[in-house]
Amino acid sequence: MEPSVSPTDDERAAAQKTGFEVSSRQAGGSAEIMLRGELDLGDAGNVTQTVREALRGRVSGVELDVRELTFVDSAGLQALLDCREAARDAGAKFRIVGASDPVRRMVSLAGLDDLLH
Amino acid sequence: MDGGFSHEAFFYGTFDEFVEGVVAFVREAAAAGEATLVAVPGEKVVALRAALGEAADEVHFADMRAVGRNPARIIPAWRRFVDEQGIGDRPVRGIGEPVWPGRSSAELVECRHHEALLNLAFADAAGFRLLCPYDRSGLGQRVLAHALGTHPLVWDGDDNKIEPSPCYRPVDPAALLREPLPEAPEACHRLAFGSLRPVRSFVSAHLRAAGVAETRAADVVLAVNEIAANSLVHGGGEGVLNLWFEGGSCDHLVCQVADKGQMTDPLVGRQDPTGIQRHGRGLWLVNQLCDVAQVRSFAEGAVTRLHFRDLGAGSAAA
Repeated sequence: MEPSVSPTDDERAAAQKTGFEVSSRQAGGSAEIMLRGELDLGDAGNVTQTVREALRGRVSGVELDVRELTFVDSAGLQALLDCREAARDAGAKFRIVGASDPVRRMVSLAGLDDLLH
Repeated sequence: MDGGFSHEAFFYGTFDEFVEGVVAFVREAAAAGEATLVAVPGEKVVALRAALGEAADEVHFADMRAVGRNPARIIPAWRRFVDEQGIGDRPVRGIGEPVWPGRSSAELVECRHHEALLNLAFADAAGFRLLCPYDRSGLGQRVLAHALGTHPLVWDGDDNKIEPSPCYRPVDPAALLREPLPEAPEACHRLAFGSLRPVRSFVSAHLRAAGVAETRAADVVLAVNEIAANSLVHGGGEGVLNLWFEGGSCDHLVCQVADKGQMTDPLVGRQDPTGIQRHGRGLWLVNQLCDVAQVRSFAEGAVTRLHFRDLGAGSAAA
């Protein structure tokens, strides 16, 4: 059975407690990666690592779901950029979905609006 | 004129003198086919547009009260203008008035740094003429003396002459970074940190207690997070945050982060992040989010002090 992308109560509780949670699953040859909570310098490496691992599985695309990110700092933004670059290098499609307010704010402050398209 | 960067102070006594001088400067640029950006306080933009008439259509205008609210945002604005308009060897002109009566003391200090750093930032910008008007009757003697010290040249509006400033001193970047800051008040809130989440919680809690609206609070938290992150990466992995409300006013928050790091680039945070390496982005962002950022580097470590004004605080500070 594939793990669900929607968070379980336990996952939500973990995100609350640890501040950040990343989970990934494969669907139809694509990797769907869900980020939850507060993404900062401390967890940025975790995100790029998860995406690189998914790419090693020769997926055709990577979708980062950020709708439940409640905070992102410049290191977190850099991680999103690194993920995009890694996907491109691997010839995989890349998409960010569900940009929450903090994500939009950070992306617009950095003048990187194309990241969300 | 050797065609290099020409950074000129223009001292005016009255509003009319300001308008006459700037209009003459702009008309001369227009006649020579040079692109011009006028960045002055908004009410002066209105007066200049009226005085220039149709010629105003060829001029770029910006409200310096917005662009230069945080003086560290002005160099990137000039950089964009020069890059966009100074294509090839086309000379460009700017009129920039970063200092006006009513600027806070921290703002005035950082405006002086900004003026000094312009000489460094645009040292290679051949054909860029930047005129900085200073209000002789509205500004204090110290501010005017500083303007003479940071501008290599002085422009005389009456006879359109450029003279060397008798008091100009080339910028010493290390000295700017070493410049002391006023003491933090004794009654400030303090947090020693080694990770970022406690920093965000701490700042959030104080903003909530002061009744600051959520969107604004999110920006403040992000800014403080960024300088704390710098401490973790470049400042020995930990730091101390001090937070206080200046003069007891809930509307003026100061957050200061001290760590064991060293700052060496006085232009840090003044370069557009597009295309720059990852580590330059943090302080650039901070400058978009706060009203003044004071970056210092002493023997014992680096200190970054951020000011946030007009927070729209709703209740008494904790």
